[in-house]
Amino acid sequence: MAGGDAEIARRMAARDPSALAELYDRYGSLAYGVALRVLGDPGRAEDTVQDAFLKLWYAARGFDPARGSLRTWLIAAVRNRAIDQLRGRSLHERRELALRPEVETAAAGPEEEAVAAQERMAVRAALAELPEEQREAVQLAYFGGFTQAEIAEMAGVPLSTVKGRMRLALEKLATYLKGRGLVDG
Amino acid sequence: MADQYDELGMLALSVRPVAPPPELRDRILAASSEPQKFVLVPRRRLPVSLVAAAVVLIAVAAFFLGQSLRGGPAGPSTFALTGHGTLAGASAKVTDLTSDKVAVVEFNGLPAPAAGKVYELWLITPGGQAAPAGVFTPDSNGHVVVVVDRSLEGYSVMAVTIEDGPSGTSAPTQQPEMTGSIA
Repeated sequence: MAGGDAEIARRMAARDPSALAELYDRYGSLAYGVALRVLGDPGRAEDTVQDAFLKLWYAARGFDPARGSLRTWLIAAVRNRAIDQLRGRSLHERRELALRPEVETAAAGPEEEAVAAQERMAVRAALAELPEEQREAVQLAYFGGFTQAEIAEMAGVPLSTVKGRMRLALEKLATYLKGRGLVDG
Repeated sequence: MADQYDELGMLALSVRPVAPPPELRDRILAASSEPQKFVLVPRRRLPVSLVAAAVVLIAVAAFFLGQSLRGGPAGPSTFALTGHGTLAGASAKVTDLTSDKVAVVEFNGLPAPAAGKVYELWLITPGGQAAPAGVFTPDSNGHVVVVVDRSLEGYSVMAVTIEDGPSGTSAPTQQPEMTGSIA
């Protein structure tokens, strides 16, 4: 997977349009899923995915494999753009969106790889094993774009408590996933 | 993966992929063939004055956005690049719009590169790894504004080399003649 990503990045840097198409075919469904998860709005999710793919297209020369996979870069771009789109919404709506339960939807299609499904179920299992306050903290931060200070204010706890919850949550998630060989050690 | 672009990024893996509308693919591919709205080489795309105005607008917007979101002054950081060797006398101002993950580099006093050559901008990690950040050529006054469409986080130095045009290289072929700390 990583070798394929590096090759796609190289071809995108050389302005090969087929590389962008290949990237989209490989990760378009995940990108759209993430945008939809953050925004809950198909129209805005489409715009977000388009912006993110074009950002990578124009910035492909800056891709650094040492800093992560092309998938990681793409999904970070989708998530960050989606969070930008959330800014005008109320705190209540953002909180509800970020904390809504994951629901299995219609299959993405035959292109979804078994390993991706395995990753998804493992991350969900890892999240499910976290204490509720830790799970909420990381979900609010990632899917809602809330700062630690905002999370502390909403929860009515000191900032240091939120920092501790997030650190513990990330450590547990990483340990859980590393133990299953799903993230780099 | 967990400690790279975003430590929280592993949460994205909990999201089930959803097939987007079929027309989105065509829309993205069509848009990719259009001229880039945010250009790296303004001389060939937009008047420098227009790019400079955009830079000012972005900086002002980022400043006030930072204030409104964080309740305090959180304007962009600035750094300086200094030329030496054949680039002695050239300089650049780097404006890091951290919250937007974009940096703007305004060069002055750059000599025209030799025929077939371009300037290439690099972001260098504390470990010495150089990542390409764009190629450019200055206008007849030695001026150019380059937009780096990525975060500077994790890099300690910005540098410039002269490489083969028009696309530059994936790794520097010479010691930089313009550098500056961005950490």
